[in-house]
Amino acid sequence: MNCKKFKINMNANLDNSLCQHEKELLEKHLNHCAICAKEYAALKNTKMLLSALNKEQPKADFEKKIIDKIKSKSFSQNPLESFIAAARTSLIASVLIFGVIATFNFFMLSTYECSADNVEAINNYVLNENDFAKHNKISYAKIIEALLK
Amino acid sequence: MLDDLQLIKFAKAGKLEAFEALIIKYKNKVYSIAFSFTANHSESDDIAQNVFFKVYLNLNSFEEKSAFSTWLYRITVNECYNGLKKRKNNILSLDFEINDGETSSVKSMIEDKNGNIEDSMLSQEIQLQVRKAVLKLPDKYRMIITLRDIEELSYEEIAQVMKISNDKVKVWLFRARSKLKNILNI
Ligand SMILES: [Zn+2]
Repeated sequence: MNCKKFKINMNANLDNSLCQHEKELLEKHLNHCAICAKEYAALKNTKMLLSALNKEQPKADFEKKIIDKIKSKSFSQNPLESFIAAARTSLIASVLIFGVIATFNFFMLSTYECSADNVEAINNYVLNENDFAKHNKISYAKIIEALLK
Repeated sequence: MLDDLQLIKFAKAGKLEAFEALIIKYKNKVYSIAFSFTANHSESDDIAQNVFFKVYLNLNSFEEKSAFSTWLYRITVNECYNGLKKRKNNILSLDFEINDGETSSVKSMIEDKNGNIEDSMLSQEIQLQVRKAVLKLPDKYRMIITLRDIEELSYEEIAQVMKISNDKVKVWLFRARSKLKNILNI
């Protein structure tokens, strides 16, 4: 086996992932090849240096900051709940809009409809007024004229 | 003591205390990965905060096919890479400056110990030199070294977290360590 093949196995050995047979072959080679032995020592030291680094830790208020952020967002975490909340808001909004438009139409159109669709009611009113006119000696034509102004 | 899946179940049901327990359990590991990758405290804080916030927002998409830790570290790796993209001009904003050719102290320390540094406590200066050397590695090599040699994840876990094959884990580790050894000049 050449040195190149051993280089991959050197790394694998650092992670204890060689089988016993491969491990023995590597050790045998390292005993006879000064270049590989030197490289293996350097790789081993590299790994040692890394594992000896201090483990840096977050500040004491770390989890509090996240929990506060979650609370401040005050979102509903369940998608179904979010949908229901959105639907409820839309429903209330549409009822309100409907109410405003209906009220507006009621007042605007009621004046309109007196002169168009409610002809019969006007006639009744006018006929009654006719009786009123007779009693009060006012001409029927004048009453009609006043009503249509 | 509740396990991760039980805590997640409570957290999904809106119990913030359960989610807080998950944060407390994993915050050091997540922060440490971010710090090994960035060597910067304020960036590591941003990354780790974002990781847990995203985890909370996406709790419902965690399908329990893998361990919670694997899913968490995967989000951490992504967030580390995203942090790099956001960084202007792609320059690492370090807590310290990088000077070239300042690794002689590492070499002489190893020589002082006759090449055997097992169980050594590293001085602040040596720590700094090693962190600087790690920062000089390409992103993927810096990440794989972080996960394997600093955080001691298994090959299988690294493969899942970095979304690469087991064979690639071995090859990348081999290249990353060789490069780092050369940078450290040991
Ligand atoms: Zn050899």
